[in-house]
Amino acid sequence: MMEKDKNKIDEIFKMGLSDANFDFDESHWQDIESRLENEKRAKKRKTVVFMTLLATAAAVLTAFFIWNSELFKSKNVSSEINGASISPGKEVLERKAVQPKENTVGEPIQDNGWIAFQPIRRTNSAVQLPNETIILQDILLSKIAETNPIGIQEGRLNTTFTIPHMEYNTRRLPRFNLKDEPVEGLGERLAAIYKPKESIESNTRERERSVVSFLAGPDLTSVRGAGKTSLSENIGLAYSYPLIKGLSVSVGATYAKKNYKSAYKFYTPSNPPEMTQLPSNVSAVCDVLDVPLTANYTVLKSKKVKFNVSAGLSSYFMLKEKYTFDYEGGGSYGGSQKSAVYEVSGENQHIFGVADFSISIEKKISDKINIGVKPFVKMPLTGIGYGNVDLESKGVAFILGMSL
Amino acid sequence: MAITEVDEKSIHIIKGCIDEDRRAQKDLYTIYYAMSLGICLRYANHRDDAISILNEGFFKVFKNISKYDFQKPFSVWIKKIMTNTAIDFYRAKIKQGMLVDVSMYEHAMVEDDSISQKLDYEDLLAMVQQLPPAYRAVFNLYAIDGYGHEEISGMLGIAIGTSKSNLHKARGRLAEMVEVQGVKFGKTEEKR
Repeated sequence: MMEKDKNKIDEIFKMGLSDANFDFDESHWQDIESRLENEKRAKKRKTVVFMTLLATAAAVLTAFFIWNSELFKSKNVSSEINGASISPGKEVLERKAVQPKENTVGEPIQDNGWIAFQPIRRTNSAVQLPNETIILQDILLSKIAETNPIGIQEGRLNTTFTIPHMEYNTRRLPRFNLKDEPVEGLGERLAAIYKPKESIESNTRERERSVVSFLAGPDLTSVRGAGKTSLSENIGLAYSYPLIKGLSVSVGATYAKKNYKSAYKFYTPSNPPEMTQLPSNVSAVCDVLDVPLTANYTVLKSKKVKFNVSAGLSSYFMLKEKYTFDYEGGGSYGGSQKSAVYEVSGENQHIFGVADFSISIEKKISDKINIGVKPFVKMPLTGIGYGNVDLESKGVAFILGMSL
Repeated sequence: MAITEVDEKSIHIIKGCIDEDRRAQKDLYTIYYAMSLGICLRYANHRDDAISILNEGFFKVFKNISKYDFQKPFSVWIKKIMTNTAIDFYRAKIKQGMLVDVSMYEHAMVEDDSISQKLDYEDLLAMVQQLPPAYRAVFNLYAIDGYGHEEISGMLGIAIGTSKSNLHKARGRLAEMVEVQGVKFGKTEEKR
């Protein structure tokens, strides 16, 4: 091919193809618009997932630090108490008035042999309790020394006291007159004032028990934006395990019969069948196994009633999906046939594909049994089912729980 | 009508697109629709592929519009995105350029008998679309979009020699097609 021919070919095509003129086709814009909308929704979902994970991580970290700080405190207290002993060199025989650390009630402190205690905390702290304990032990020893100086002399040289961690009762401590009160019975009185922490802790542990709950209730299921809601049923079990006081995690399995209707435009199947006419509406009936994993926080708690808020993620396992596609005027499925059914089983799973939020009010009806109601909302983070629709559920579950 | 320079209205539309304002996005799409579709059609096998490339290209435009340099013509930026999207669309086939199905071309030649004798836009487009992707991409880039062989080699991931060879073959085939339409050229050296 000659050079001029090459140039001529290039010129013909360059000139001829440079002046393209096409009428704008709205359907092309609609395609990209729906893609942009999907992208926007996906972005929102990612944000929700991210925020949920962040909140969960924050909750877990907070719980971890609270729990550890309690452990840390306990260890310190134990070690200090265990290390507290009456030293042989300590002057225990000297009579002295023990001053309260803080005179919170403003009462005058008398130095006439009365020893006034004004406990200012519910729980002994890591720093102060051992001192106070030692002081009390000193008082006891000094009183014993008055009555039997020889015995105490021998005793104090050879005795080391190990004092368990103690906790004050909330009531104000009495005053002691060490001059007049008999030593006998003082120990019992002190024991009545103090309660070993162990017993309190064991009571607390008893209160925070894991719970197995049976849940059942209806919900309103809808495709986001479709404006139609249908009644669905849920039934399932949940297990809650307490992490720390007020915070627990739950896992469960709920069987749900999800019914929902929407226009076909909300459906974006991954592998759509070839259709000469798109359906106008779709009715879906889906058997779903919902496996939620949630963090629960007890906001309010009285003796018999407690109020929880929960957040977490649910995994949907689509056991069976049945879709009925309705066609206007019969469509591609023949003049008289106005609908077509499509069924699929066990093909779609959405791991942590749904955000799960709920509140619950539970009432204790016996030591082990509680009942309650749990309004909940489930928001999709991903497209659900064959149609990849944004499936929302808003409902209420009735709870029957049993503490283990 | 396409925006030829970055005027105040264009800036307003582009900023709207940066804010993901749907109306601004539609305005931009409408304004650059014809120009972009023209590019996509030149690089595509057929209209359906061209529409796919067009929307993929616009999706990239909307996703990356915050990176646009306001100092440069917007049309050049959008043309480059459309061209690159089209190349990506056929990249695998372009790299296998020598393994293209010649029978498709021969079949197209038979169809050419029925087309109009007048070389209008539709005729020329049909001829370009009948080229194998590897030839078509090089011809579009070199003859119409003005890239050199070195640039084309980089864009398509082929050797400079391959780029030159593909251009030569593309011209040869186009010349034959044009000849069928009644415009005579020197005999092609390509051996098929």
